[in-house]
Amino acid sequence: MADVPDIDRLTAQAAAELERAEDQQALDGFKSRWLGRKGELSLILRGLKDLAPEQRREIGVAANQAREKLQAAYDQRKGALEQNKAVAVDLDYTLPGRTVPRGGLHVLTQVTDEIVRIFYGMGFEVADGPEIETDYYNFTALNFPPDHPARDMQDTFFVEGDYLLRTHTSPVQIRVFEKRRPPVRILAPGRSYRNEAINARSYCMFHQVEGFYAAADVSFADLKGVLVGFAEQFFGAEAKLRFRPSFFPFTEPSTEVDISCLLCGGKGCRLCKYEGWLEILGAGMIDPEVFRAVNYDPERISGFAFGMGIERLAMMKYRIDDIRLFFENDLRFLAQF
Amino acid sequence: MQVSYKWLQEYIAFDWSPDELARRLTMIGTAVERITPLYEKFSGVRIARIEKVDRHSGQDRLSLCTINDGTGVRVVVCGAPNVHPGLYAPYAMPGAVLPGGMEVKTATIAGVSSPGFLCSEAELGLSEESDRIMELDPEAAETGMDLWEFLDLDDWIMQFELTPNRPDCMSALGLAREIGALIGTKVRRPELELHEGGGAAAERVTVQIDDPDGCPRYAARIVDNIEIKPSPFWLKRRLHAAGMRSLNNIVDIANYIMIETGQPLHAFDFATFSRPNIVVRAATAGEEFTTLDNERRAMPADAVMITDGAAALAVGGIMGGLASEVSAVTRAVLLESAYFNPSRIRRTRKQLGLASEAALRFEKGVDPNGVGFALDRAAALMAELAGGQVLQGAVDVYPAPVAPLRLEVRPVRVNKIIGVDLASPRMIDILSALEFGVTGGKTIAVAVPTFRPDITREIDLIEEIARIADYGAIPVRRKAAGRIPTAVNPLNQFETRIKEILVGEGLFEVVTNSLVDPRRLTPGEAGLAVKLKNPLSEELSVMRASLCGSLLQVVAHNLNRQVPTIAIFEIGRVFQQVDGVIRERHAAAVMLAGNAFVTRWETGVRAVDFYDLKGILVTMCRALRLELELCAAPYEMFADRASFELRVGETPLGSLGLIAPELARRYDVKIPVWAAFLDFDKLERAGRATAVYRPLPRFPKAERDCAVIVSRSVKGGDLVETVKRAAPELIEQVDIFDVYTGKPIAADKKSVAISVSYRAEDRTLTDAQVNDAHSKAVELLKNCFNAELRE
Ligand SMILES: [Zn+2]
Repeated sequence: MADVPDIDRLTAQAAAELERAEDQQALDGFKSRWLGRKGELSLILRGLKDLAPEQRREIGVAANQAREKLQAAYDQRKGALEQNKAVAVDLDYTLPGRTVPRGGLHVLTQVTDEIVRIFYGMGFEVADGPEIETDYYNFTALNFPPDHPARDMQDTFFVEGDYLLRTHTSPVQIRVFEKRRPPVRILAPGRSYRNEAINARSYCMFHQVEGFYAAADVSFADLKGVLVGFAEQFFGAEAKLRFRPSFFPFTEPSTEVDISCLLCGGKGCRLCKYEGWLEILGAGMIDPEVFRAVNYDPERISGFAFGMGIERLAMMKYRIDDIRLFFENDLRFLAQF
Repeated sequence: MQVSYKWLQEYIAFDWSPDELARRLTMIGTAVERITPLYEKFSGVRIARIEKVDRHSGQDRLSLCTINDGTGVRVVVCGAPNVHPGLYAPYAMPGAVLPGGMEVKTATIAGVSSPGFLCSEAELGLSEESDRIMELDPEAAETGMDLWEFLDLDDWIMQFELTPNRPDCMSALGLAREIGALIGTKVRRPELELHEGGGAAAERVTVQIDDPDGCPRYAARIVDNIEIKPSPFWLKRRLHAAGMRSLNNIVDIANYIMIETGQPLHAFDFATFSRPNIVVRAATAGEEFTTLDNERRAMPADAVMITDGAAALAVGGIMGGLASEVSAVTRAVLLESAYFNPSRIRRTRKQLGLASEAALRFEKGVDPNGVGFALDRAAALMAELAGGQVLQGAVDVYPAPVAPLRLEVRPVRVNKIIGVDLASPRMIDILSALEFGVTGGKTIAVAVPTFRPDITREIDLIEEIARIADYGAIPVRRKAAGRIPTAVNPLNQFETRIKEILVGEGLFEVVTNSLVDPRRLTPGEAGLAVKLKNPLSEELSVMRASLCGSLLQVVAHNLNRQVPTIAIFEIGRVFQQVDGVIRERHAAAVMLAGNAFVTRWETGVRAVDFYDLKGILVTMCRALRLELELCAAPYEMFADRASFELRVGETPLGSLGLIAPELARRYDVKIPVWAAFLDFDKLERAGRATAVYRPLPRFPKAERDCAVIVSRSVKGGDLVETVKRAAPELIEQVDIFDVYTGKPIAADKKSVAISVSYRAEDRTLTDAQVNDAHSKAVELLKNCFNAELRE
């Protein structure tokens, strides 16, 4: 009877030898010594017949497993050595890397998301309503009486069947107020439409963000607080706001809000037509008629609303000079943001 | 609305520069849009007196004027008909620079040397009058005076951008009142010096209102014996400041008083009346009328007609008629000052498509109690400038006089809404300066002047106080009153998530117009499309029923600009009309065209294909823990054999396929476009499932491969499913890792290499168990697909 081979010891010995192999010649030597037809493990397998039957199976399985393990270790070592050699000779670090494709969000989405995030931090949640609206929600409930000249402020697309395309996202105010009781603090971003000729400054469709807040004791001072807070986050701490009286049927008092020119800081330049200010949004205290339309008591509830055009904000922020670029979707344009 | 800076100074004293005035007015809501010089600067023009006029010996139409310009006497050549001795006229001497930059030199005209010339108003840029030499007031003019100084031409046009609620500011007096509120003083109204005579007007004409809804007040005066002639320079200057053309003294006066007071006036040639009775009535059915602009128009039912009891004379508040127009031969005018119902005017104006200055004021609401003052003031001026005789009295029909509205304003409420702490005397001062009648107290009682139709409620008074008190003085309160728990909008959040996944897959988000061209739609879409009643153009006349056309347009735009890879998506609304019911749904679409968006230097460029698109959607669904399935289904936008339905379990989510070439060509796209369309609302509902933890496998897996040769028509997915059936409880995963066609495989066959992972949950599988399952799987493939095992 032959000696029982110590496979574990042999395997450890082989592994150590492989560790030391630094070139092809050493690897070839390893291969023939351990894995070849005349290698150590082949010899053991061939010698199985000389073992006691009860040992044959055990040693056989062990030897086969050891052989597989060493083969894998050999392949890995060989690969590593080859790559080391390739790195030393062929690596061209100037060739492009393998990138994972990456697209981009539309710049209007990016701006909207930023606005939503800022107002979310001030307690505003997002709501929306239909784009094809009724006259009631778009105008009448917002205190635009029929035949009132204020309706001329918003050129409207009409749709068959007594509908219209909403001219602002302000109808969301009415829709939310109808469903909820104060306090409500809502931000309503969405598409709006105006029947205006398409040119560099105007388009028949735009995105508006309407924000509103109704509760007991909301004042114009709160409106200023929220808008100043927004401007500081969106445009930077140095941005100053100016509140000018204006007119919107659904707010009273109403205001037009200007921001100190982003280019010249207020000194006057071409962008701001040498006025130092850029108009960014309209706002005001929600008109009591709007509250009456949704059965809120204007003696108990007050509130403010504001609306801004996302295209306008994006154009200011990124100095984009043609509104049509947003909707042409030239990928070279989109990739810039 | 525009007036000049110096004009405003006639009614109110202020010493702000034009820029400062504009800034201050803008900050109380009376926005100044633009300031421009009233006249273009000229220099070197002085006043000369014509001493003697001689005819030119050769040229009849030329005269040789001997003039005295204060420094001496000289002779200039002049072609105007109105030169005569004693006339004071502007003289441009050599070296003078006229508007447009023309420098005056000594010139020889018809053989006579002329050192400069006498000027017309047109040459000085003062009016369009170019035939006559400008005539200066002999009472005021002195030879040698600089004309620019003499006429005080340093003035500026202030152009206002008014909000539609402020008709009172469509007048110089109204704007002056705003300045008065800033300063805290009241305006000076122009003095009225009306001399009447020649009998009572009421004996010459009657006024009858048959349509008191359309015309609550109608007042008329008769001015007789007038002489139609050009207006004096001061009046032309006013019209120029207002942006209006000078026509003749009568029409100019009517326009001037409208701009001054805000009350539109109309002058009729009284001789054209067939009867001496003004009858105001509603338009009759089918009535037609020829307006001043010589257009015969059908009158809408809302129109208020001014008639002489027989024939119509004017469309009340909108435009006069051609037949009764003041002309060069007019000797007597009937001057109308009236108040018309704003809604009626607005509807008529819109239906007629006419926007006159008068209509724009009436539709916003003029002062019904200002009718008389404007009428008297215009009549007085007609007497002064046209030599007319104003008959005694106005014929004024005003059956239901409008009284000032009485309101109360609570100082506490003012401070609560604005968020300030104003004292009640300050509020009273502000309202008084705006000419409100005010009585102080715990609540302030206010009588609203009738020129402010916009003020009907306490809140309107609060705004008046707030705007004059200065919005800038309102504090910025950072502490939002009361905390509200803020919920996240789930659909909004889901949309953001999907967008981020798709961006991570290399796609660019696009935002396209919801208005599309109906001529490019598929028949199915065209049947659903919502049409606009008043589109901008045919190309943008329907709402999109799907995102297909919008995205194809983006593909075309980018192809035309040589963008090599177009990988885009949009999430937006689509609009569908079914049986008259309009539905808005959220849709998502992905489109791929051009080169594959990952190009690598080792593999080279290839075109995008089906598998790129399918991979994107599968990845997106995996992120939502959904297993996406495809099955062949026909869709009209896709090519026949490349049209699939997308589904998750039993829920259809949308479609995927190759855009039908004839559809793509409608957008000028000639390369293959792969597209997927998803019902976003359904996707959101399907994607709500949350993950449930499964214990990690405790026992090792075993892998086996096989390669089978099958017919080319066999679907890989069917092979995978069949393998799974061989041992459902042991097979963990089946993947196809190679598909090969070509030699040595027969032409109608392909080789598919499949790897299978076997694992049991509760034990380590033995070789024998794995082999057994694997041969069962291979056996099944052989039976089901007539597969041969490839060695
Ligand atoms: Zn600037």
